[in-house]
Amino acid sequence: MTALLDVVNLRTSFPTPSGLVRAVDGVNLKVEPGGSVGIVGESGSGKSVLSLTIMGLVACPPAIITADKIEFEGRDLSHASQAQWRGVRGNRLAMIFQDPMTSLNPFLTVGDQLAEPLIVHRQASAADARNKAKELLQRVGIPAASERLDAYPHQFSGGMRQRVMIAMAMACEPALIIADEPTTALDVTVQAQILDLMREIRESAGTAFVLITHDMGVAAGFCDEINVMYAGRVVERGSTRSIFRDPRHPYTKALLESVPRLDDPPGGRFLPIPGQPPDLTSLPVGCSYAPRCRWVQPGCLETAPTLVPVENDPARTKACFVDMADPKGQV
Amino acid sequence: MSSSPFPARFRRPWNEHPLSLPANVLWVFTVLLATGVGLLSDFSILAWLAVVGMTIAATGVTWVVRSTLDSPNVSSKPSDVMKGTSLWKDALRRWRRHQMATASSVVLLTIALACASQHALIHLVPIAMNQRTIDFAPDSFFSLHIDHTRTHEGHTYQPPSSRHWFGTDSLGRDLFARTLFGGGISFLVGLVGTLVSVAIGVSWGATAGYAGGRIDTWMMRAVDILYGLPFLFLVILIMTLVNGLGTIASKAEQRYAEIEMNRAQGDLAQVAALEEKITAEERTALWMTRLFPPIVVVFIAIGLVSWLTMARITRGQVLSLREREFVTAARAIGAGPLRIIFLHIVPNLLGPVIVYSTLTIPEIMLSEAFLSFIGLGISEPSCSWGTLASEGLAGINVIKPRWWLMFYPAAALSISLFCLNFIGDGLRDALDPKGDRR
Ligand SMILES: Nc1ncnc2c1ncn2[C@@H]1O[C@H](COP(=O)(O)OP(=O)(O)O)[C@@H](O)[C@H]1O
Ligand SMILES: [Mg+2]
Repeated sequence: MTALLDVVNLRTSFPTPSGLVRAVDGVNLKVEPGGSVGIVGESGSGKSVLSLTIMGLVACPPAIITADKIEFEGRDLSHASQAQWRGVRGNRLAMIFQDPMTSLNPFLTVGDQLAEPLIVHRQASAADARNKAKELLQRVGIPAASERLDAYPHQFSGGMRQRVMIAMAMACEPALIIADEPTTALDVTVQAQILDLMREIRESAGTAFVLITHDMGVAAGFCDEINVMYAGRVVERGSTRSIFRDPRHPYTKALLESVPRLDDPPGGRFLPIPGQPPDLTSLPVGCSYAPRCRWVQPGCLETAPTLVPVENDPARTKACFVDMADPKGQV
Repeated sequence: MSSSPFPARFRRPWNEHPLSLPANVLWVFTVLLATGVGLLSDFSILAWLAVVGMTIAATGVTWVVRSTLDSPNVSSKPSDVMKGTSLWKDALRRWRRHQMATASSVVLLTIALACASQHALIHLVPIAMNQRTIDFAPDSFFSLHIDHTRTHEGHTYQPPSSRHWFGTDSLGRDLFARTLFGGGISFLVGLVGTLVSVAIGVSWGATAGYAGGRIDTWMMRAVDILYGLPFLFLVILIMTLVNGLGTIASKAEQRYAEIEMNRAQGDLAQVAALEEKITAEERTALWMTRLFPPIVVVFIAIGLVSWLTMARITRGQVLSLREREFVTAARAIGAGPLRIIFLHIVPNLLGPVIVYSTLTIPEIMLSEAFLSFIGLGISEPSCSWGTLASEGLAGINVIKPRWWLMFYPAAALSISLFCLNFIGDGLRDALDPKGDRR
């Protein structure tokens, strides 16, 4: 089966007065039809820039974007024109943003905004678009949909607005939805509802998802595969189960340890990651995680590790020289 | 409020009270009427009765409001949050809380309507400088209070009286009618000038903000440079040039009239000789003044110099709107740039532009008044509040203080400017999306 989305060696950098910010630095990403891939990392690790680049929403000057391949549904998008991008965006490839409070236009009714993708891509008539918008609202579980079509975003709660955003993303039945921290701005009970809704959509419509989050717990509940991102690079990749059971990268391990769990003993280990994320304008020569790493070895400071398969598990890759089980057994 | 004779279900907070606005407006008009009547030189029992009647009515309405007033933070109705109330309705509710702004808008509307109906009546009844096709009796309402060109013989320099409410000027023209007519011209200059400045400012600022980068830098640098120029001098220069053209053009017009007269008398040799004398300059001047009548030049000149702030405001708004998440979300849907500008950015721009426009109108009216005051701008036979005030100033002297000549136009101008400023303030608060939604 060919991949739905195949990104190879994607780099996005921003020239700034203090130097070139390498926000995304050679990322590979593959999403199968109907799959769900998680991208996890601290804030500032380049997750949003990665998703916006895949959506073609990073303005190319000033940003510098290079990629060996950005293939979506068999079409290469790395040289697409603006018009081609517009034909894909919102149609086959949709996005859900982090903050539902600000990603809806305060001056348009919810119905008008839901109808917009249909009008843009399907040339729907106003009446058709309105009917479809009503169906979409019902689909995402908003009661009294026909009355709420004429309401304005400020009359909706955060959870309801995120449902509207999801409905908008679904409007043209896209093959892939990129959700950039869709639950971060919501409180915990609403988070679970939104994730349930996304899971339900994935199962019934077969839509593939890329879920971006800084929360390992959220990714665990939703994704089949997890990519751990650090300083613009993917440092570890594997199936959700294997990553949780046996993290192979010190950063992944630290991320997992920093999440409080119900089965933690009271007063037990709950470790925040020490240090700060690195300055993306001047990354260290070696591994960019080395300054914060508990297992750091002299070799880590000299050469940067690349993403290589883990010995006994070919489906997993990591970018680290250290074997955490036996730190002395450095490659 | 236990002594209130009204049951509790009639209580309303101020901004929802149906009588709060009438109470305020009644008081304002009572004061205006009392001032007007008080300045009349002859005792007019009817006018005083009207003032007394209005005072009683205002007191009564105020008493009713006072005794049914609810404290504003206790809403009498359950909130209807889920019913599709638009942002504009919210804005209206916030606007109603601004007592000064609501009262001002009523006063301003009354003044504007009075001026507009005077202009309408004048144009419906064709008169041109005493060449009436319909002649009204000298004592008719139209002649006394509406016709601003009629000279009432033997009534020059009359102080305000029940016959001429605002008095008369040196030619015996009714000052009430002239104040209404001048007001119409002043409002017209204010509105058209503001439209010119909004059109230039918004397109300049929006282009700069949306294009960004080098284009933005250069366009805004141009604005900075223009800010540094002494604009009043520029306007004065333009107006002086136009006045000079007007003088040449009127000379040419005289010659043409003379030619017509000779032609009517059949003196063809004289016609040819006179036609020879008309210079090319005179022709051009005549053509130019016909193309751009002085009042249009006033609009354009003032509009041209007052768009800078509008451009800055628009550019700042577009710059921040462009980066707003809902614009990115709209792009993620696949909307094109035109759709984004007109559907997503422009509506969000409307609030600040409307607010700033209401503050630009008085600014432009004031510039026009100033220009007219120093003898540029509107010229006879037309008039504006500015020219009326400047004529009034000339009419004042120590021995015979003809105060009314200046007082009424100046008062009308001041009241209108006050009102516009209050309305602008009220709009700014009402259209602020961060204002509370109660
Ligand atoms: N337009 C831009 N210009 C310069 N730097 C940027 C720009 N956008 C993002 N960055 C930088 O890229 C890095 C990654 O940002 P982002 O992708 O938003 O992180 P996150 O993982 O929290 O989503 C940050 O350090 C940020 O400062
Ligand atoms: Mg982010």
